[in-house]
Parts: sequence; C-alpha cells; structure tokens
Amino acid sequence: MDWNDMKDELRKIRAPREEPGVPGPAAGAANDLIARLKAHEAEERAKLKQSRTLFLVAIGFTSFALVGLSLSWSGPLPAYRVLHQGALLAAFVYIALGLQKKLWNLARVDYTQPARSFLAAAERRYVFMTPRDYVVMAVGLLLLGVASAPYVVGLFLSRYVSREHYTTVLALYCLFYLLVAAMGFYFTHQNWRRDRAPLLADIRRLRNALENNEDVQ
Amino acid sequence: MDQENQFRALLQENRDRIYRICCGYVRDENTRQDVFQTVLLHLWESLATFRGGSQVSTWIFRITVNTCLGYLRTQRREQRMRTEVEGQMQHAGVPVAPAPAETCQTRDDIGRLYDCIHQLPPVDRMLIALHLEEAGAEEMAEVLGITPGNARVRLHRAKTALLEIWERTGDGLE
Repeated sequence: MDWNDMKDELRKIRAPREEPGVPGPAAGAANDLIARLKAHEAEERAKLKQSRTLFLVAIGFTSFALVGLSLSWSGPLPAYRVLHQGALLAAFVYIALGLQKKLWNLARVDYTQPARSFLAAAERRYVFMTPRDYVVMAVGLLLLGVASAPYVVGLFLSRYVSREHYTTVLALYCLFYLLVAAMGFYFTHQNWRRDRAPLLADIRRLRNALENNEDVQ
Repeated sequence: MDQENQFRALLQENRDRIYRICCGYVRDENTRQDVFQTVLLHLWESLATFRGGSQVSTWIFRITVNTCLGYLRTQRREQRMRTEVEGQMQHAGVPVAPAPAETCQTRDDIGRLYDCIHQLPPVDRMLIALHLEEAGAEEMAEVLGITPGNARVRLHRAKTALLEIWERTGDGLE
C-alpha cells in the first residue's frame, strides 16, 4: 500500500453523526450541537459573572462600612480608621481586578494561533509566578497588612499591652503576618508542583521539540 | 451569512477531516469523540473572531491541532493520577482492575496506520496528520508556527520514522 492509497482509504473515515444512521450532517443534529454550544457559552459567562458579583458585593460592603463608620463616628474619623478602611477597600478592589483579569485570560485561550505560539501562551499560564505576579502579590499583601494592622492596634494593643511595648508587639505582628504569608506561598507552591509543574514540563518539552528540531515522546 | 449558518457550512465541509486528525492523537473511541466535540466547541467560539486572515483550512487545522495538544496534556495528568490512585489501592490491599484497553475501531490498514502514528512523537504526529489531510508545507508551517523549509525537513523525517514503524509491523508504505 502507498501513501496515496492510504489517503484514499482515510477519506472513508467519517466523523460520527449526532443521530446514528443519518447519512451526512443532519439539520437536527447540527441544531442540537449549536444549542449545546450556546449553552456551554452561557455557562462560562455565568461563571465569570458569579465571581465578579462576589467581589462587587465585598467592595460594596467595605465602602458601605467606611461611609457608615464616618457618619456614626462622633467628630472627625481617626486617621488610622480611615487608613484601615481605605486599605481594606483598596485590597478588595485590587484582588477583585486581579482575579477578574485571571478569569478573563483563562476564558480566552486562543486556539486559533500557530501551535508554537499556543504552547508559548500555555507556558505563560502554567508557570508558577511571573515577575509581574510577584509585584502584584507584594502590593496585595501590603494592602491587606495595612488593612489588618489597625485591628491589632485598636482591638488588641490598646487593651492588653502597655504603651512601652507597642513597638515589640507590632514587630511581632509583622513577623506573624509574614509567616502566614510565607506559609500561604509554600502551600500554593506545593499545590502548583503537584498539579501544574508536570504539565508545564510537558509543554516545555513540546515547545522545545517544535523550536529546536528535537523529538520528544 | 450569520454565525449559525456559517458554522453549519463549516461543519458540513470539514467535520470528517477534523475527526481524522483527532484519530491521529486519540486512540480510545469515546475520548476521541470528546476531543472532537471540544474542537467543534473551539471552532464555534472562535468563529466570531475569524477575519479570514488565513485560509479556512489553516484556521481549522490550528484549532484542531491545539485542542489535541491540550488533550495530550490532560491525558498525561490522568495517567499520573491513575498511577497514584492504583498505587494507593494496591498499598491498601484493594484489588485493582486493569485499565480499559484503548481501541482504534477502524479497519485493518487504517487501524494499523493509526497504531503506528500513535507511536510517533507529538510533533511528528501533527505533521503526519496534516500531510494525510493534504496540507502542503506552507500550510503546515502556518499551523505550527515554523518555516516552510523546516516543515518539509521535519515531515520527511516523520515519514521516515513512520515507515520504519510500519515495516516493523508488516509490509511497507511507499
């Protein structure tokens, strides 16, 4: 058998029809497929909207708390309270925008680009953290740290610690906060190593095979 | 023509060739149909943004090849997970049923050809699948993002590798 015979033979392979026994793409089957495609699209859009709603509620709640606090406070609001609520609001907005962008990028995998670019884009999605992600994470942690500090000052320090030990306790708070952040980072990295690192290795092997003329199995 | 009619026409013309490319990547019949449906889903999603910058066939090949590449990744993840779970089950003394055999429910030579193709590295599989669908070197280069010269050289190597596998398993391809 030669290549041309093989190609001719291949032409006999037909894609399964939605309705068994119907020769050619039946109109009913196509309609059914289109309906399912539309349903899938709607489902994806709904997921994105849900996540956005969650953060909009959080932002709205924080804004409401800030306004409520400034109205109910007798006299001008203390600076640390404004700082706290402002930082909390900023942190929520920041995280919401970041997550929205991430979801947006995930939902928009471009399958129409050449395989090489497709793999390069997949590599960017699967990599643990880009330098930009580190900057985003640092800003987010800083905002959350500033947002939670007034709780330590207002609810804990002023009640249980004498004024001369404030600096020590604040330093301990910073240390504790950094420890929690480091633990979060560690466990995230472990999860990534388990779930995504092997996939990233596969993507890189394939990409290398395409770019460097190397074969991979 | 609106999107639905455009999609219908596209489906009418290209359904079988998309399926045949999927055959080059996926052996199991059920999984192949899943991958095939996923390709159709991606075609539908990308149709609105298709501006005719490339040939329709190139656009379809790209989506099919990229979706199949995505499948290869999930397949490896599933294999790893299956191995882990089976290891845990064996450790716990639970009898493990053998994994269902992968089948290529196609006829004789074609089935054998796909068996041989599945033994090739992924990049070679792409090239052979496109070659069998009459894609030229220019089109392959556009699909893969390499130069036409490189596509020709790689295709030649892929065909040689395929012939070797084919000869090992019976008579030769010419």
